[in-house]
Amino acid sequence: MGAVLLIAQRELRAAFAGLYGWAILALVLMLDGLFFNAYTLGSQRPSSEVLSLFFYTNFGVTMAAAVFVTMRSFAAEREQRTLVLLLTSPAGDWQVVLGKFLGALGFVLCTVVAAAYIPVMVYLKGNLEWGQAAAGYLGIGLAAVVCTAIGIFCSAAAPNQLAAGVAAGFLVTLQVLFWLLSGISDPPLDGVFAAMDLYREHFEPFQDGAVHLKTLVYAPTVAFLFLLGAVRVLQARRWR
Amino acid sequence: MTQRTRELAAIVRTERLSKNYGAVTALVDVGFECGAGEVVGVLGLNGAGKSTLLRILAGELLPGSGSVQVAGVRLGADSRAMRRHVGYLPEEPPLYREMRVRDYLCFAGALNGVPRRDLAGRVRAVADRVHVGDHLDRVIGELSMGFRKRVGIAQAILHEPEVVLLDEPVSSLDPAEIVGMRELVRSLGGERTVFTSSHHLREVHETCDSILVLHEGALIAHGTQAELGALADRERIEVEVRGTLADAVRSLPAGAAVVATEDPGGGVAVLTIDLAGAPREAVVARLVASRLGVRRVEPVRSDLEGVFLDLVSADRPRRPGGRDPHADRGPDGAPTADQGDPERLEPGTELVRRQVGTRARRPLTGTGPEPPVAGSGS
Repeated sequence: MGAVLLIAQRELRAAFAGLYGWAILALVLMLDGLFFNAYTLGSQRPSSEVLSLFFYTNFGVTMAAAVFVTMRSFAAEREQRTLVLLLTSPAGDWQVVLGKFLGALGFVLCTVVAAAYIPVMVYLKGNLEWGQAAAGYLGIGLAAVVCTAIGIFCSAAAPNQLAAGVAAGFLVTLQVLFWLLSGISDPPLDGVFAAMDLYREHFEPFQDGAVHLKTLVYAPTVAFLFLLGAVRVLQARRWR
Repeated sequence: MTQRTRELAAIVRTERLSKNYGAVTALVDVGFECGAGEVVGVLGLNGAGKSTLLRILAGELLPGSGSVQVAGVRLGADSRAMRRHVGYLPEEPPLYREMRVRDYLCFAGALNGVPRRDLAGRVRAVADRVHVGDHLDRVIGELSMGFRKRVGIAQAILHEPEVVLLDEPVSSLDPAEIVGMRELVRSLGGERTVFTSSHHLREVHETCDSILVLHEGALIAHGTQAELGALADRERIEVEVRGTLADAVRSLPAGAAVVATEDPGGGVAVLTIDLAGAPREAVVARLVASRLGVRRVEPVRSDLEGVFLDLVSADRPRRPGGRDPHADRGPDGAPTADQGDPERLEPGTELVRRQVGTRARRPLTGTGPEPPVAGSGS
């Protein structure tokens, strides 16, 4: 576990050491603020609806942040030829992938925390429901876990950062568009696609304050599969 | 195995190591042993497989076939444990440019299992040893290539591995940095086994105890410089005769290959003759018998560069400790039937024979047949 935390810690520090991480953070705050301003400020919506709208927009912004952060993870190290340091260390491939994942997830969660001033404003100026807020943040956290794992897999598999970003963007978008596939599919595929949809099936209830057990299983499972894929990619590269 | 390796316990052992990148063969049946404390130079032309060999020894890549053991731990069976015994500096040092030297070395040390309580002291000691002690608080991206290489070496030796692998440690360095790096590499020997690959033959000459010569993925020679040099010295002579070049070539016995000629004029011809297939006495006797005036016979002494170029362009292998190339010849210098039987060859010879056979060039010889491939010992 020591190597995992060590790598995660370095990833997190590296994200804030350069302009890139701060630029992502600024972009996240800007988008969250713009959406909040456009959808809720000046309207006469109840606090719960304001909070639900915030989680709705924050969900999309967090997904984008996860893609942008993770596209650098392995791909940048490969381009800069620093990945060899990790691959020739006694750390196992699982430890490397898990460390990268936790570091990227830590950064994504930092962006989520940075945007928490909006619920604080709701608390100060409105009537914040703590249960809804907790459920919403749990949903955001689970979505971040899924999207970060997808990004890590793509970064490990792609030849460069751009390809990793495009692939991760595609897969993450696919995750929230499964409901469209569900609509045009016949049983039993429609049910399968519906169950895989990240937003409608697994996040929408959370933004309204409902915690679904199936999502608590879904998110770690999907994340595990993508991280396993990343480990397999690293192992395959040793054999190539 | 070199004399020194025989004296010391083998710390690195490879057997029939092969690696392909798709359809491209990077290594073919490479087998060798190196002892503790040896400084081993890995020589070869571009694409010879030097970096691939080091990457496999470092545990970054897995071989397609064959086995690697470092400090008794086998790659594949327990790769993570094997990597604990190895420190690796690739040609491009794996440095995080945004980090400070101290933070980077602490990270690399912790990653390689240096206990947290020892980390600060170890970093200071190693940094002083590689002469970056005054730069510990500098950002790596601001360092010159020479200092980056030094930081790379520091990360490779921080966890005190038994084996240190340095891939082209002097590439991109200026002359002053090369001198410093040479001293550093030399100082690492003795206490640990060091593999260093280089295109700079002088570096290898001045820093290495033994040399591995790779060519087209195959190990074509392994020995000390003295062993390689002696081999080359024994095999070539320069002869000056009074007569025409054509007459001189025609008069050579079977197996004597002319590898270079010179026509200084005045009815004199100078030939450099490869003696792999014919003893020196036979060559001189035939020249004299042909009524060519033999004015001078001198052994051609080769430096490491000559030996290296000779090895990688040879039509036959030469390995120190190998068999007498003339031992299997008949009285007329022609190869005996035994030489065509791979079963009679010593271990490791078959590969070399195959390699040579695929790129054999017919040398400029006398009237006799083309010299066959000589056997070699392991």
